[in-house]
Amino acid sequence: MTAKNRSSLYLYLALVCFAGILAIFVVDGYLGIYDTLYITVQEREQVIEPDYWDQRWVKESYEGYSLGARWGESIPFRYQIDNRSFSTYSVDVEVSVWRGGQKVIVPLDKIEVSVAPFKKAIVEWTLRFEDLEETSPVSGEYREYTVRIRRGEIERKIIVSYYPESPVYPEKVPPLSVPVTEPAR
Amino acid sequence: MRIYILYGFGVLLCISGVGYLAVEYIKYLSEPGKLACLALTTAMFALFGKYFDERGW
Repeated sequence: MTAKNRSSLYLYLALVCFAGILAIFVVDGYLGIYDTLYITVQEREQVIEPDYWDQRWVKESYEGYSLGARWGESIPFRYQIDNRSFSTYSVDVEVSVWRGGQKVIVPLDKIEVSVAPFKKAIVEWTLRFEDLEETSPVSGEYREYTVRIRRGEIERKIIVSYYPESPVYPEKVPPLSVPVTEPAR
Repeated sequence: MRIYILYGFGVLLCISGVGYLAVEYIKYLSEPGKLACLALTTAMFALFGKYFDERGW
């Protein structure tokens, strides 16, 4: 092999290494276990992508995802687990609702979910407002609940705020002032 | 001489840009992925070194 060919070979091998690094970034980014949440409130479906939980401010503050719902509204949840690995993924999933540090209800008791390689599994439940045993709201007051979704060691927090519906216009407008009476003559 | 300063400045900008992107991306890699990337990066620099060595730099 001539010196020129040998130097070209080194260059090509270096380029192959660079291509390999790029391939690792792509493949490694694709592989893994990903979860996506679909929540329907007020006739609109909200999708919480897996990337949401990886954001720095979400990790540091650990506040969870906030959403608002109408008073009395039942909220359907759809939790999708995407197994992008070469082995079957088995995990326990449990959903509980908390308020003020106390567990209120358990919409989904611990169930074992098994996902085949490169397949998806969906877990569904509904947060029924009746189960929360809320009393009638005081005007302008709202209630907040934390929905905790545990998947193995991972926990996702959704903070649901129930807002009472208030009419846009009052039914009967009160008089702004006392009617002026005619002076006596 | 000035042209070499400009080249050097451009090279520095490129290296810092690529370094920043690598730092941002590597956070999302798994541990085996990081190890493989490290091995490939080492090999890449070694091969580039051999390439320039062969060319008499």
